[in-house]
Amino acid sequence: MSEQNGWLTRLSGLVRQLGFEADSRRLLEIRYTVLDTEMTGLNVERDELLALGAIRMVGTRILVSERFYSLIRPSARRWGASVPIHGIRPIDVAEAPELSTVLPEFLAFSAGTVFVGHGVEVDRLFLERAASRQGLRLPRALWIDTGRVARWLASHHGTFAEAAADRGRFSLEELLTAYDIEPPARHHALADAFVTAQLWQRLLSELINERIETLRDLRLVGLC
Amino acid sequence: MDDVVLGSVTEFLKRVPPFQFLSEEQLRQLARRIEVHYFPRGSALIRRGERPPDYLWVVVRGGVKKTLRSATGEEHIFEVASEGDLVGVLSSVNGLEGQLDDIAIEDTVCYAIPRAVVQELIATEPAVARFFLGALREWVRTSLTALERQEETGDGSLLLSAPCRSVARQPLLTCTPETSVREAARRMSAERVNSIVVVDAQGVGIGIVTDWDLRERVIALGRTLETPVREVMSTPLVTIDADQLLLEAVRLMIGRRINHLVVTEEGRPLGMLTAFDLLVQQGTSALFLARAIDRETRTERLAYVLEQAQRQLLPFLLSRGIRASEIAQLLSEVNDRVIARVLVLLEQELGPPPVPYCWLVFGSEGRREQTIRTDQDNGIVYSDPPAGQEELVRSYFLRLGQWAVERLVALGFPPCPGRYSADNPDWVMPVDEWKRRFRAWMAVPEPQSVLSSLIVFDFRGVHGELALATELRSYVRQELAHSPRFLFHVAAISTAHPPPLGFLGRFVVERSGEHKNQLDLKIGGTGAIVNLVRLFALEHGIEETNTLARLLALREARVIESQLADDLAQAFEFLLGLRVRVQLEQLRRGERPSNFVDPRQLSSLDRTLLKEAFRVIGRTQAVVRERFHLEQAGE
Repeated sequence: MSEQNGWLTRLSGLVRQLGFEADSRRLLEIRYTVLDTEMTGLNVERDELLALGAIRMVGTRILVSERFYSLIRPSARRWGASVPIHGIRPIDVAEAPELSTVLPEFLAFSAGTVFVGHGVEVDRLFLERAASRQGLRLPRALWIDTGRVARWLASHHGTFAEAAADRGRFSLEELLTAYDIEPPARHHALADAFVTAQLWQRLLSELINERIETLRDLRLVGLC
Repeated sequence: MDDVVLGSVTEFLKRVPPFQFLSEEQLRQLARRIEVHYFPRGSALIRRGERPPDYLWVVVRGGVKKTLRSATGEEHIFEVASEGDLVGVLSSVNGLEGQLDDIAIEDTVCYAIPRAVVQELIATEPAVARFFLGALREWVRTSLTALERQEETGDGSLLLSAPCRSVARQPLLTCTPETSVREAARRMSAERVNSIVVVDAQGVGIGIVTDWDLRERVIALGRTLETPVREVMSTPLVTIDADQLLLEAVRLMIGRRINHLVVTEEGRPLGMLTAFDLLVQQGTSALFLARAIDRETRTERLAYVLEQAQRQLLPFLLSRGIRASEIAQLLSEVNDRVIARVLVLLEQELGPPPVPYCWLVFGSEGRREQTIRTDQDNGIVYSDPPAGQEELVRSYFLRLGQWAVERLVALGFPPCPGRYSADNPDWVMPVDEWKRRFRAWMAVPEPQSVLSSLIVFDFRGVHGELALATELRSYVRQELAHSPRFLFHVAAISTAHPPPLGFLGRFVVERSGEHKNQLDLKIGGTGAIVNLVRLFALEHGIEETNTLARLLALREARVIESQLADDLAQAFEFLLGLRVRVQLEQLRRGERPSNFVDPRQLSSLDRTLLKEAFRVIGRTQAVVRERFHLEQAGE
């Protein structure tokens, strides 16, 4: 018991050192930007954003009225390897705005919100890199990875070993099937953001059941 | 910005009524404004009694049960909304607080349409408005929920049992008969009302001009706007006393097929009561029903309407404390409308009737005392046909009777086991033959004919030339005046079944068989009172058929002393109500409704009242036996 308390104290101390304020905002009231990106490839140094899709949530409510979607014209001309994944060909983005136009719009759209995405670490890295190329900085924000949350919930339900053994079970694809969420289209940044939002609705409800009710709670278990 | 998200939402909504009425563009506009909500299993979308939710929900995945917990903690599920169904209609349309508990029965995803958007759609899209305001589904829901709410709060504003005064809109807009249509219309629109009452020099209302009159009698006929209103007004002016119950107003509106009633106080116009006011007041159930009946062009669809009446309206009214006799009268209005509708449709199929006829209903239908539909007792009387045409005319009405009875059976009016119905040639006759039949019954009373007469003499005209029924009625009255022997037989039959109350006031129950330990609420109960009261009514030339109306007339004619008349009326009301409650419970359990009840399963209050009612019956039967010098029956 005391050992666990000690662990929690250390963790929250660490969290504070990292510069986050103790955050008592309630998960059910927070404004979220649920996002997904498509890239020319997975190398953050070399590859670029091709599409950015996002949808707003307030608590578990998805607001269809607040969507963001744009294709982005990259500086490179060739990204043949990833075309089969997202279906975006060079010709599709020939008329698209450049990152310098899209990024500020997206930052305005997402200002003051908590970011949510599936495997959102990748999206964050690409957005940070893109921002720095524009001479911008992403505002400090919290990022929640639905994949990690799902894994945490699974382990919390006593299936940690399984969860650790089978990472594939927590792919977006698998989770959508498990939660019976029907994707309107796959590997389309807005469609994926939309289904991720629906996934977050369910995970959020499960978190509440586990008494994870505020951002602070979420941070204490290491999920943002 | 068109995209996959909007596309998938639109795709779904276009399959869901009432949104399917919207154009592609409107759907897209709608889709842009919705939210997607998620409700884990067991969570509530709406809680009863809480403030109205801000959304109308369309179930996309999962299901939502609409339930109520009774005082005893029992859960009643009224409906389960599944994919494509709506939740929260009442609240989003009418802004009412939660009426039922709407709980997700599985993990449920809904498209949530903000209330403002719903209101906007209703205001701009007639098809959507019709769907929300007129759909029977809503009627059902409205009824049930209003009932529950009021049952809960126990406030005095029970709609149908509130006086008309409480809803009448004031002041009343009036004009003289010479006022021009132009002026009347101007004043109506200035006051934002859709009717104006025409009063004479003494201030007495003589007619009414409504939007409908203006449209149908002025514009459609191309009349000038200078036409005086007396030429286009609807007459007579139908009024209702301010102290009458709204239930009465609903009945009047249904019966007369009108939407406006002038509420009067001591004869002077006080205010206007419109169907819309009732709609606003949630009391539209019966009106919606009547409208639905009149709109239906296919007989089969009427079955649904009737089903609703029996399953929803009846328990709804009953639990609102409306008396069983009043409910029975209201339901008989509904049944009458259905019968009339069936006959009108048949007349179109068979061709117009060769001579005027009148559809008669007998027995409990004739008395307006049927609650749970039992069997149909009916017949046809038609004008004496011209010489040589007799068979032709008869065959028309035999066919009409045959078909009508079949259709009514299909609509859920069970056939009559005793064959007192219009598919039996015995009950399809010209006026003259009816009279001869009646005369024969009265001249040579035999047990069978007296039994038949008891059922038939409660006849009432429902559709067609009602004067034919009136003619038969006065014939019966005249003939009875000199048929003492017949009345003696009626008296004997009317006292043949003593109430099931034994020595020391114990209930007498069946000793064996299907109804072991139960007693019959009809034979020695409601039926016994009906028989006794009918006897008095026939004897004293009272033409009413309804038992309570007969009692009132008998009391006023001082045939029955007022104390006994009141006791009988109360006993009847109680027994009728108890029977309906028992039968509803049987229906709810999926059993066939019967007249039997196990007295041990009644509350002690009901048991006490039941004994009291039986004692009144026993006392009255004793009086009758003495008057007609009859022996004590049975035992």
